[in-house]
Amino acid sequence: MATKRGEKKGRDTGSFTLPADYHAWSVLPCNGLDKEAGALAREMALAIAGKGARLICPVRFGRSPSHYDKELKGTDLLVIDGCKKECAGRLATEGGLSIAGRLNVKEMLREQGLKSGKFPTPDAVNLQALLSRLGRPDAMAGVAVPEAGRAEARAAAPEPAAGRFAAEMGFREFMADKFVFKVPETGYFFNENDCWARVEGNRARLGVSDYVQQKASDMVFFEPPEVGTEIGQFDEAGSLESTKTALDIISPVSGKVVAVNRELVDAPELINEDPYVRGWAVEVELSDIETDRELLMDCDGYLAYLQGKVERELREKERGEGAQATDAQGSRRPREPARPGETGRPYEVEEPREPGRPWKPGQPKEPGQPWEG
Amino acid sequence: MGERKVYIIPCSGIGKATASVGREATYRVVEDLLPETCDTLCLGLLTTGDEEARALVRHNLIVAIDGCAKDCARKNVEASGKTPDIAHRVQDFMKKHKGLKPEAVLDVGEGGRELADKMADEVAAEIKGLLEEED
Amino acid sequence: MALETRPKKVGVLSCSGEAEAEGTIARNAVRLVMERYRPGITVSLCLPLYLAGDEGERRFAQAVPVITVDGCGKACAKLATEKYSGEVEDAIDISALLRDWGVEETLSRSHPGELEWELAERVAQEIVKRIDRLIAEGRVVDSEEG
Repeated sequence: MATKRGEKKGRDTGSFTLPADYHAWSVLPCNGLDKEAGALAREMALAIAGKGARLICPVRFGRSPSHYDKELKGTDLLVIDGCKKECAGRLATEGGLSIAGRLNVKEMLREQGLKSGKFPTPDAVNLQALLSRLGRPDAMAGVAVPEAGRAEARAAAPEPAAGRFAAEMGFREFMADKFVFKVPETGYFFNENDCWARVEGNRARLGVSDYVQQKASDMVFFEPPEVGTEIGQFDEAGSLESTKTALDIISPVSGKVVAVNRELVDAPELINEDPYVRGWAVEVELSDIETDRELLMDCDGYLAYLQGKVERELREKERGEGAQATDAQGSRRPREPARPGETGRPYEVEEPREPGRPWKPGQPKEPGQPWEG
Repeated sequence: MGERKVYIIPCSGIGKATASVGREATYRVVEDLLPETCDTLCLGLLTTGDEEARALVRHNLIVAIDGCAKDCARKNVEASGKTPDIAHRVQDFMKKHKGLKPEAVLDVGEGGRELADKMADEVAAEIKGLLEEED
Repeated sequence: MALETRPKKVGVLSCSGEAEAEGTIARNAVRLVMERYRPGITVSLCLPLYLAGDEGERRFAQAVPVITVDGCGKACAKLATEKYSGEVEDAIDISALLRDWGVEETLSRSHPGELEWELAERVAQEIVKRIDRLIAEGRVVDSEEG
């Protein structure tokens, strides 16, 4: 998943250990030609590439991202930016790449009490200082990683068996009003809380449906359960908060939590982007799927259920009653014709008046009474 | 060469209160915090391809503030030929300031206004940093 | 039974011009119509989605009759709808309305006060008139028809 937007990466100085195996990395530097920091970024990238990392040319990548598919596959991406503009980071993000680590040259210089030179060529002292940092992987402060760092995330939540949940999937869609709702074609089970379970062998991943993410709007927080927690069918399996509401993930199945989606903690908006695959929240080891399934809907069943539910909500919305509008925030009042003076001031929209006469709101008047200038 | 200004362009979101927060934060920076160096411009002008607006975007520093993942402000700026110098989503600030949430589109409420203020302060600080680099 | 082909919604699209007070009035007026005066029958779209969104958004003016509400003569909502989406059913220009109403005061884009809200209410009623005309002409199905 690409780095979250707006993060001040490179300004944080979390510690990070560059692995000894440079072959596990691809490195993308910025292309700053008009600043020394850009030239230093290039030199650092070349040095790292010299130790075995794959080098990504920012200009070539910008023109033809797929050119580097082979290099990027199976490696972690290190981005080296010269300055706060973070052009390489933006390029990576816009190209849909997941950034595992970042270096910011200006930050690194600042930490060592150094300043960028005035000319767009590497200053020898600055270059030496930066390259010597590369030679000491245990002291690589300045390479900022996501708060749930990769190593930490793997330790906390063991990866599920490779490929278990990796299968491609298709969706069916239906349209209601201006909204399009997606339901997977197969392989998922749903409860009436619009939460899903995708079962593979003796494990299941859990999440919330496309309907939930559309209704709740942008997700901003995800609180996962602890790994190891036993949950019963219809128990809470984590909580979400969006810009509009807070909600619990109601587990469709019973089991023990064996993994949580750490990416989702940092980027809950994954649920809005991809609620059924990358937006998975929790993985459980199932305890009794055969019994649990009796109370769940398969994809066909959920599609029919959801269509009925959405239709009812739309009819209620049109009548101005009951259910919350799916996209409107604000007061819900029964529909009524526009009345003059909704703000309390009596005035007639159709009241004839001469153009050019100054508007004088707030003047009480009787309907039909001419405006007074 | 004339000094470059900073144009803060919020999205035009009409369906989400977060878009209203983005606009409030923009106005706070442009009218209160950094009125000498910052201004805003109508995003709709970029959507229609208004040449004057596009030129302003290409030749000045741009901050895009989006109210949701559709990223209309950022994308319309990019379509005008410029990558924003700073780009944020209101949701990023909501993550940093848990508990502050806008109430409604027409009136974001106390929580929304406080969020807008915090956002404005942080964006203004970033803009100052950007302008220092320009010097 | 006759096949019902009339749309059930009216689209109302505001310019939402952030730099101008009239843009704020346009946006607030549309919100008032959506929330209070004609909820359920009014749908809207964020104008820049014509460019930032996908085909679904660009089909907006093909799916429903659209009334555009612009703050000034640049008419961004009208132009963008015609450029990206389809025909505009009716177009409101707030700057022209303010001239007709003789509004001379300087208006605030960022802190709409009593006057700005009054004007938003008046513009909202202009929008409502046009929506009601579409219903009266049978161009849109009123949900209360059942």
